[in-house]
Amino acid sequence: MSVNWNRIYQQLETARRNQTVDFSPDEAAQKQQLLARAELLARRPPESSDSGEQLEVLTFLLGDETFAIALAHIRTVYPPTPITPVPCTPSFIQGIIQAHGKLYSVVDLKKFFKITAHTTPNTQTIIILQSHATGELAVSVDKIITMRSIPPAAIQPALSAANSARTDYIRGITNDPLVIIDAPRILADQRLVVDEEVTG
Amino acid sequence: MENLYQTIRSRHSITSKLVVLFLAMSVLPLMVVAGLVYNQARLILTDEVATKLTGIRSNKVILVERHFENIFAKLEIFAQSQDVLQFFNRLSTYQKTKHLANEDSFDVNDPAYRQLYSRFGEKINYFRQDNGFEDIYLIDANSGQVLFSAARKADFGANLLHGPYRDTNLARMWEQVTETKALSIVDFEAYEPNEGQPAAFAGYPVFDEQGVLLGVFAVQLSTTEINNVMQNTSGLGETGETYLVGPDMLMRSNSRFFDDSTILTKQVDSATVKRALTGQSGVEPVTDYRGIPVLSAYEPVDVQGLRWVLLAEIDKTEAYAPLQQLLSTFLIFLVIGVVVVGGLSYLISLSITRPLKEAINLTQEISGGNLNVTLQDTGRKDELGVLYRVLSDMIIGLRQQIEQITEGVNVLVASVSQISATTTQLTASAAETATSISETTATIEEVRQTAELSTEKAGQLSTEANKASHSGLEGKAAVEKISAGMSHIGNQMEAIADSIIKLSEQSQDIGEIIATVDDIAEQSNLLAVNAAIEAAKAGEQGKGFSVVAQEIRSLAEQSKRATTQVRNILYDIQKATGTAVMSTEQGTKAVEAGLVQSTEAGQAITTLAEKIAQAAQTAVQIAASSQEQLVGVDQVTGAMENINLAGAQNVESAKQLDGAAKNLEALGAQLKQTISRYQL
Repeated sequence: MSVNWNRIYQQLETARRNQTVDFSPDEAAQKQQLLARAELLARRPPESSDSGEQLEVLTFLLGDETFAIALAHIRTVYPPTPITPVPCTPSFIQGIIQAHGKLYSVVDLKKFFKITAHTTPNTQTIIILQSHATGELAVSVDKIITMRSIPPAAIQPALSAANSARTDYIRGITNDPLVIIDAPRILADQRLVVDEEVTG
Repeated sequence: MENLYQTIRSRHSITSKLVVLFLAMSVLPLMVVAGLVYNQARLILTDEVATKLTGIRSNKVILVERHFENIFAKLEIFAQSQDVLQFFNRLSTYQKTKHLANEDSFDVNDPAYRQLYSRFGEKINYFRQDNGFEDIYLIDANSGQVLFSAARKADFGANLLHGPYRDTNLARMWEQVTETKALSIVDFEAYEPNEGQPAAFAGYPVFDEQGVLLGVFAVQLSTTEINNVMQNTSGLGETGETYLVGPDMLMRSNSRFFDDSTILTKQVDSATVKRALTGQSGVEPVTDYRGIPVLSAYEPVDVQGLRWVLLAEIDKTEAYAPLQQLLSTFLIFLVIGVVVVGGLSYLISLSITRPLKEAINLTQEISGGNLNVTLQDTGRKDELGVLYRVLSDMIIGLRQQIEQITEGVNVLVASVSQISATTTQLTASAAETATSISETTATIEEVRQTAELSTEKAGQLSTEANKASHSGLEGKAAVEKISAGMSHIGNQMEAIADSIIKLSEQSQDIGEIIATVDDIAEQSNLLAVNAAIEAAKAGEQGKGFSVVAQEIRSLAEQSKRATTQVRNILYDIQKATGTAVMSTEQGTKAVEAGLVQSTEAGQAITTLAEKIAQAAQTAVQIAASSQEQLVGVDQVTGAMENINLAGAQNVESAKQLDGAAKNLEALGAQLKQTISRYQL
């Protein structure tokens, strides 16, 4: 077996050169890139044909299904944080977290909607909901997908025959299908008022 | 086949032997007992009869003696009576007056005598009739003249001294009385005056007042009285009798078996008579005067010198009649016994001989070769039952043995044919051997030449071996150099491994950095989302910001994808690094193995060199050996000639073997024939 050492040395040299190039782009190149981006950003977004009121939503995954919540009802999205469990709470209450100097109780939406998931990711993203009437609540979702604008015409009412655990809290369904959650109703739910005593 | 059982002669058969044995055992003791009983009975009977006879005899003797004593007493009384004396005196006077004393005969017709006779004769006749005498005599003592006779027979008036009757027993009696002057008696004799009939006389002397003998008063004795006594057969049965015999062995009383008088006519000369005449008495069995065997009781009778014998006898046939009856009863029982014992013993013997017959027939069948026979189990518990079972076992055993022998013979026959074939092959082989030997001889010559060549080649080999030994030393040096090189390679390989491990550690650092970047991208993403939310809340004013937020989000996404790609590349690098480390490790191990192998090669080459040196030495030895081989080959040539000779002998032996095999084959056939006799 004979090794072509020359070829190996050439390859190594090329690699070293490539590294130095990538990690220190010259000034002109950087400027060009930034300019291109600025130009891109400066472009106005195309006017949608439907000039009417559009519903801005944040889509996310619960198990294999895609859900959405109106941005209006979202205060903020919080990166995965350790959740402190609280005893004597319903099973869908995961616990409490501290954010922005406040304590929030976290609702596991999957358990809340009784979705049986095949896979659960290691980390869950927290969404903090807000409503003028009832205050704030944190819910945990599997993964944030994106933000979308949905014309109200595309929203169809949920079939009452479906999962009854959901229908009360669902605003409607698109063709995708995308389930739009009615956040104020979740916030107004009596079940979330924890009133249990530990006995014994 | 002849049935052997039927050849047994009947007198040799167990049946007849058993029957004879049983009969002998039962009949012999019976006969012995019967004989003893018979003898005893005979003795007892004899004794009894003898006692009876003796009793009767003694009784009769007494009667006879009394009879005579009676007669003698009467005779004495009458002879001494006055009447007799007076009559005698008158007769003497008459005799003297007439001078008749010397006359031969006495005149009885004289009127004077008649007067006397009529005067005294009547009284004497009375006496005669009263006492049953035949006759009464008055006899003159001096002249011997018969002066008086009551019966008036021929002897009346006769002179007994000179007359015709001087020799009669009457004359003898007169003589005895006149001599002895006492009572005298004479035995019966034929007496002429009495018409020749037997007559006996008794006489008594008559004396006058002065005691002078006048004469003799005599009587002729009657036989009637004695006969009456003797012929009284009471207690003597059918054939018993008593009789008297005189010393002349003639009868003195009548026999009951003869109508005529037997007195003095029948002679009895039996042993008992003779013995009794010598004065003995007893009982003995003898043959009597009629020639018939009798039991005879005898005793002498002595009356005034009259020596008679009294015999009481009874026929043996009558005496032993009970014995005969006993004997015939016994014979009847004997016959019955013989029949019963004979029958029983015959039955017993049948119970033995019948199974024996079966056993004999069976064994005969077996000896004839028929083993296809069975013996029914009789269920007997005795010796015959055991014999049956043993025979049964024997048949089974024989059958098995014959089968085994048959198998053996078959094997033998097969083996013999194989031997026969083999010997044929052997003969052929021997011939081939002979051929081979001649070829071998030729080959040995070639060997010889080869051996010469070997010697030469061995020399060359020695030279070459020396050269090879030298080359071996060079090889050893080269191997040592290789070992050094291998060690160097090993060190280099370790350096490579260290570098790769460093590379791996650095790529792990990169991974951590990438993770951080990923985290940042995620947070940027969330920040973008939050920014978008805030922008949305701001309404129309926030729209432009919303776009920027969207862009930031997109960049964050791209960053994330880039990190994912980097992570994949890093994963590949990690994998490659692992492979490189493993390869290096294997390389190191290969180098170590190479080192060991090169060391071994060095040793092998050293050993090779040594071996080659030995080979060189060996080659020298081979040369020497080849020289010896040449000598050996010459010896082999000589040996081959011997082998040739032996081969010829082998051929001869093989032929003999062939003959022996043929004999064996014949023997096998014979055995087969012998066994075929047996039917299984």
